[in-house]
Amino acid sequence: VLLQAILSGLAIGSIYALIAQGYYVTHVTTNTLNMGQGDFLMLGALLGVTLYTSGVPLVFVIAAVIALMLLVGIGLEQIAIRPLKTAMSIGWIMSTVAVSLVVRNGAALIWGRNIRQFPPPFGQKIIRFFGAGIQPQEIFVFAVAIAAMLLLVLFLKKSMLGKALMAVAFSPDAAALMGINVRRMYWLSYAISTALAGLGGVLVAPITNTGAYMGGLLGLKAFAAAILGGLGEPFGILLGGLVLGVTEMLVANVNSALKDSSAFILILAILAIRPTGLFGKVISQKV
Amino acid sequence: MRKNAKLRLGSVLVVLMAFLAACGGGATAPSTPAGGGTSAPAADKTPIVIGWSNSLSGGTSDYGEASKNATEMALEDYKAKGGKYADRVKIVYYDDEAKPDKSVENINRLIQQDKAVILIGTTNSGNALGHIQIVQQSKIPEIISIATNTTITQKFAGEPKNYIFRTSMFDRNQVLTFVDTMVNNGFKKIAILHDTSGYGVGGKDDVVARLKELKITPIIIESFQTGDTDMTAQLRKAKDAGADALATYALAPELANVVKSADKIGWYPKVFGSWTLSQPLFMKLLGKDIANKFEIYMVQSFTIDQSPAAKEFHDKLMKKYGKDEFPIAAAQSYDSTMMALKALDKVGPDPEKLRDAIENQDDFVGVTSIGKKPYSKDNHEAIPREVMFLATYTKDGAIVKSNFK
Repeated sequence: VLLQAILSGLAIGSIYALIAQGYYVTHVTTNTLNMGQGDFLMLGALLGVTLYTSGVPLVFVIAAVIALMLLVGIGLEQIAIRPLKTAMSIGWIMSTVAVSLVVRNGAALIWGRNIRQFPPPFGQKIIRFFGAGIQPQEIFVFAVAIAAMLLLVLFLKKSMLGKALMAVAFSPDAAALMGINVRRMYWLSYAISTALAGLGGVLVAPITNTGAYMGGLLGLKAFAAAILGGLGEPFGILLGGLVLGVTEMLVANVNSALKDSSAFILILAILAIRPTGLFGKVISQKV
Repeated sequence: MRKNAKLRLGSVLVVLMAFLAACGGGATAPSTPAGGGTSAPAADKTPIVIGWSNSLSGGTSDYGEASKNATEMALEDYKAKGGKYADRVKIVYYDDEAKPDKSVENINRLIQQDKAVILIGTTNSGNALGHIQIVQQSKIPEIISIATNTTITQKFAGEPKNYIFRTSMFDRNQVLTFVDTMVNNGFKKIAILHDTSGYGVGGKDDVVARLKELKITPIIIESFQTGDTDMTAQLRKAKDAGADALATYALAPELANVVKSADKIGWYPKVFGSWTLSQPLFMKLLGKDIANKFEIYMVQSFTIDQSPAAKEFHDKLMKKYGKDEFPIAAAQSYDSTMMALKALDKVGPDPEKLRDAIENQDDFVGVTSIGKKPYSKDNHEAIPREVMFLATYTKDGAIVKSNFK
């Protein structure tokens, strides 16, 4: 019983973590968050369903969705973040929520309000593992999500572009003086963020109900995962997502009605004890 | 300066929105006095409106779509047969998006603006419960063709005139049908699995109450929420408790996930439930491969092979729309519309007379199992317990009568 909960929890938790990395990327570079990550996940999922059901092979579906979502991210930054950076300090909260509402209702117009089925690309054969069942898709989700996160961290820490991003995060003014195009870094971070959400969407589509309104709760849980792990810590976020996913499933074992609220109760508890998240650095502020 | 420009733009937007809201509000107010009471001279060409509000989008859209097609066809048949008001009857269709507030809005609009003399409608019980108060107060009859919540027709049963009729199978009788069949066939270790919506909770209460009457305690009762995808935890508990059959009460998307989750933990109990298990979306989301590993039984009162009239109806729908994915929802809506049109021919476009005509009719012939005299003052349910039965899926996903008695 426990094993089943843990396996199911790891699969869904890795999706939370993947989306949450999107929060991380924009947080460290621009100090803003895309509050509508869930709806960009939905967009990725619906694009994925459309492409996949029209016969495009899975690999190309994933590639196409990531490419499209990179463009969407650039657009988002241009529309919702840049114009407001100087106008209002927290205007981006409203503007990203607004864009996500537009995306959600636009999707409802294009794809309808109904739930769609993403045909499972790896069949529906259940793999038995010490009495617990797991779908091939869930293993795939877990593997790809972890791989994507490792690539992201490698990119940020090792590549030139990634280092430039981190430099902007550290100090935009100094970075600009060093010849880094700060504006470009801003939109790059948003492009990465939405691409991660889109990838999450394609991955999660076959194991969930895909529709225009799927994003809200997933986005919120991913946010919880990011807060849980600590917004500035990619590995913390990964663990945060997995902990959240497993906790939910374990709670559902005891009382299924508490499943969704358990995630948020956990956040409240953690934040009360460690305000910077489980793995966040404790910063002692001088007053 | 820039900030100012933004502020100005913002205030313009606010004013614009306020203006639009005011327009929208004004549009729903009646512009002419209600004309329901006027009788119709032959030369009168003013349209007689039948109001239709149902879900063409949302989780129950396959009910709404089937209903709309059948309603359209009923009107065509009426016109083809040269009904008395053939050149004046018009059906106005609104989508309630499976949302109660939208449903209330639609009904208000149909009554006040479109001057509907009779209403046909509604899939979601919550939507029906939300708007029947208005219908009753406006003294407009409504024939519910799909929603099943038991209280819908009973809410105004105590009043001198109840304006709410139904042609679908109400929950209490559905529960009696499948619970009794389960118990009569030796299933005594019953696990109940329901969603936390009004539909699921109401149904669960009915199931528990019936089991209690039969002196059986369900061995476990578990719930899940609308939108949940993984029910392995609940099912695992039911399996460990030793259940041999599953009694479900939920809507199609979650029911598909229940069966998928049972497959995931490798548990194959017999699955029983209300007619939502026959919703086409259920099979679409579940897929035949998994469905064929289970025995799934649901309550029905109509199959396309039950009578020549039913068969003919199915063929006609197939010919006109190329599909009849949800025969029972279509047939009930067709009969509801025909019932409304028949009453109209008898007494003319007067809502109160229409209501009396429907309550007192004794010559109805429909495509479903509705009897000649379906209603009386105390009974506004057209489908009695006797005509409900348990059906199951064939390997090809068609719905047929099951062997259970």
